[in-house]
Amino acid sequence: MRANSRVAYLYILPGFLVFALFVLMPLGHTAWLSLYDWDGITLGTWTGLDNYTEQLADPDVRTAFSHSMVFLFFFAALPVGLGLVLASVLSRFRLRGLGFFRTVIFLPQVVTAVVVGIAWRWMYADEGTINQLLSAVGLDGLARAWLGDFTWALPALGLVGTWVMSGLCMVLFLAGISKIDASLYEAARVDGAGPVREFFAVTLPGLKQEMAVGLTLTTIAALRSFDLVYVTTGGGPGNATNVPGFEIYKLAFRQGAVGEACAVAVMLTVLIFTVVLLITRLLREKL
Amino acid sequence: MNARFERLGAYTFLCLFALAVLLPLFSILSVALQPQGAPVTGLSWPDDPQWGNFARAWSTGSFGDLITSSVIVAVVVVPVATVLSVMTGYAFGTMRFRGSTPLFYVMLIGIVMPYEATVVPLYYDLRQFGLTDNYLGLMLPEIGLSVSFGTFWMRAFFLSTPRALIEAARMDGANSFTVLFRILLPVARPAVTTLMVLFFVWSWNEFLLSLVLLQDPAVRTAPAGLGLFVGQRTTDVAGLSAGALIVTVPVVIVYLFLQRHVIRGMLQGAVKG
Amino acid sequence: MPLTIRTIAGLALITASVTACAPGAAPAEAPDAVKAVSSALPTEPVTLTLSHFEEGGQGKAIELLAAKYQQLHPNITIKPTYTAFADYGKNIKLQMSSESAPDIAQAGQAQTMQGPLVQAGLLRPLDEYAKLYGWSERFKPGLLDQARFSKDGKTFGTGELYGIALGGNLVGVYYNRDKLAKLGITTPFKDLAAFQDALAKAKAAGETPIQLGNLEAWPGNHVLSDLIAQYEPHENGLNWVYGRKGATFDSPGVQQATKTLAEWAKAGYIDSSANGTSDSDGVGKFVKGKGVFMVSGSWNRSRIDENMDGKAGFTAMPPVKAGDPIRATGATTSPFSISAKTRYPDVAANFIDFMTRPENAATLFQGGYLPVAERDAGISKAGSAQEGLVETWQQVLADDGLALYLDWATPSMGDTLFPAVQQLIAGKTTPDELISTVQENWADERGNG
Repeated sequence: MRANSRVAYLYILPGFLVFALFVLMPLGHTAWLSLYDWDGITLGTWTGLDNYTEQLADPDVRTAFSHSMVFLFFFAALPVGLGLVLASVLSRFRLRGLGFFRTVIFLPQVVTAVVVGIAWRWMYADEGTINQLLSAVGLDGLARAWLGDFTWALPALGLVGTWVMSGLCMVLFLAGISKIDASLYEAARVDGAGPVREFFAVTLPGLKQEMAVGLTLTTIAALRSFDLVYVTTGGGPGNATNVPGFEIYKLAFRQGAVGEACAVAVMLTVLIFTVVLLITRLLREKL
Repeated sequence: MNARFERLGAYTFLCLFALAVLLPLFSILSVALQPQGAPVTGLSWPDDPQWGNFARAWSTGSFGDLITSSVIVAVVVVPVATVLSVMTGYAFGTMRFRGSTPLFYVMLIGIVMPYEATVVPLYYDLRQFGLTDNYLGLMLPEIGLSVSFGTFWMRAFFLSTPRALIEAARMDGANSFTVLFRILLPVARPAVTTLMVLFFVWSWNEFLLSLVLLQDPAVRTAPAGLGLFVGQRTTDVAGLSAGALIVTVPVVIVYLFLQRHVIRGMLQGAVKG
Repeated sequence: MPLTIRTIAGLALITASVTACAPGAAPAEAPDAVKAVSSALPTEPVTLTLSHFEEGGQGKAIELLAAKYQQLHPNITIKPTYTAFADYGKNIKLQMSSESAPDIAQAGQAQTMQGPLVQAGLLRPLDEYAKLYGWSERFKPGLLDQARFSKDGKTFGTGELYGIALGGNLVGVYYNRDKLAKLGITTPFKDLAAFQDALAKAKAAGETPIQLGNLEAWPGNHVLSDLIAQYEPHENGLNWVYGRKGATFDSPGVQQATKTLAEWAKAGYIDSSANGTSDSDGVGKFVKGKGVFMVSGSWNRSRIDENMDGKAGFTAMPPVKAGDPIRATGATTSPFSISAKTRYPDVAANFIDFMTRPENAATLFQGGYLPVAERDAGISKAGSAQEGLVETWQQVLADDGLALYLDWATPSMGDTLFPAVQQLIAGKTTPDELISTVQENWADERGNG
């Protein structure tokens, strides 16, 4: 047993070392720096929890976190809901060429967020594709520079998230449904269940595990939306699309407020861990 | 009749979905073919498509250099992270030792944790050791984060292999090393391939770490180069779009050839990217 | 000893205690003003490194001058290194504090970059060299003030001199000649009212009066600051940017300027998609004929001239009262400073002096710099925007009338002011709210409001 332990540690050591040095330590260091007032160069001064109280009271930081909540709807709730409905409808047919569609629909997952951002920046531009389509169907009145509009910029970015995550959810749930025991569906049909009851009685319970995975994936994507915001709006117009990740970057690297940036970083980390924990608890799925 | 109608509906819907996915990508292409200096326009095939924009982005826009940097980083990160992950996953999946459960949970932190939370001190720490502006400075954190998921992934795989296989080899006097290389790795090929493909996609697409940790244009990777290009005062919109497509092509090719692995990996709990 | 969770916890504690000290380094001993300065150059081989972020033609000019200098002094090599501005700002503090700090560096401007460097004792005061080379005769006082800091780096605009700039930049009004002819508008405008009449005329004719790409949020702030330069007494504006006691953003002049901008936006004088259009796309639209005017800076000049070929002009934002001196948002380009760590301050100062000597003015001008030292640095193409720009620049400089940039006031001013201007243009905030948000930031950071 003891010898075995030593061997095990030897196998783990190299990987753990890199992980500890470049992931764990910086995380701890973030927490540590968040207790200082530091400009990144001169000697920092200990301020205790001041950075936290200050940032929590800052309306800009608060709005940034509230935008994260909006993103949770567009990145997580909407794609999961959409994916569930679509997957259950599509699974009723044996469709030829599904493989091709799966490939295309999953594609946004492998395109780097920067390119996604550029693509949608062009889409939403004043003379971009969205406005072009609107005027093609006679809705010129709705056309606008979407990312510069205080009301629409945030939902517009949110929809980019929906675009990225929906395919993933649909493919995930399609795979899940195919694993559900066919006899369950037959039994439901024998009982005279329609498509809707079938969905709630068989499909939904059978997809619990996939739901947990899907929600975790999309939630994390929603809360880590730095790349998209950086490339498209830079948090604007005003602060209408600012998110915590971007606030951290701005504070640390543009304003030299490293302590404050770290405080926001800790808050964001706590938020993500809490939400992920909640999801896994609710769906009783071990991570 | 009704069923056929429904089936038609399903296809129509799938086509619309696929179109919606492809539309923004066509939008980039459409802009990439406009003459230099033209503002952003919607979907329209230019009368005189400027394919030369791609060549210009490659050479003067320095996307050639950016791609080279990305390749260098990926070529190191992917195999190193894979080897380390196989080792840790092997230990967690087949051996019993004190502290294995808490240690495993600690390693999972890397999967959920936002990069934004570590990038600030990473920058200052690496700076102190002269590792910013250096490929190593990006590779090491990428490996650290990848190992976190890799451990989770390989542990799950090793747990699913029949224990009898390992026990039998042990009886024959094989040490743990031989068991791993002779018995388990041949069976693990699909799982390892999936892992490598995922590591490649992540490494290729990593933005924030590269943006912050690599200041020197000579070592910067493609997404960060693109991101800074967007922020420049006078943006060459057509060149930028051409560059964006150049950056996307390698990863899409990998995806098209190994999509089974990509999709499988991402669906089974990969939470990054 | 088997490694247990407890030992791991122990290790973690040890690492924690190692890192458990305040981050950063104590400021280096601030170097005293150089005592024995000399214009004599060493005879041994010397290599100086120079860090800068000047793009395109301006960067080329620096390289040309470095090469020319080496021809004159074969034992001295000046090695310029270019870094894009986005990275430069993030890196410069750390670079200057490292052992391999460049001897000469562009130190950014104001509290955004130069202030913290002075505060950390990383830059060498240059007053002795200014005396030696007669820089105060070469440059207007207002230009040198832009590189002056108190020794502790906290007060900006007075104190020791920490850098010399090669050129300047300026915000003003670009116009489309064809459209003006069609609308019957003539420039220059005698006063602000005349300009507003022109805007109304353009609007009535169905044109976009002012083109603006404000997606990045900073371009719109230049429109506001150019208006403030007209309404607010010049000294007051400078005092505020320099962070001097008692200055305030909540003054009648600023109120009037902010209100004017809000009214322009409300009247539809500013392109309605400004907030969703990038600066670059805004220029693209103006060049293609969307917009009679464009309030923007000298950095967009070459693109406008190249694409409009004589169809574009440039004039100053006119004063409120006809005949008053011309004021404009603008400043020197980021000055070149000398590292406190360099072994060859005399050589570094000599090279900085060399770059700004009259015989090199033409090189700088051709590179695209607006001349800060020489009036007759070069001749621009007749009928180009450049012609108007250089003329306006000379007018402003003659009276030392540069109003500087508002975001210099505090390190986070840009992040406070720029989004607020986006909101103002969209009618999402009132002039009063904008002013109080901005002043609050100023009072917080300056601590002496």
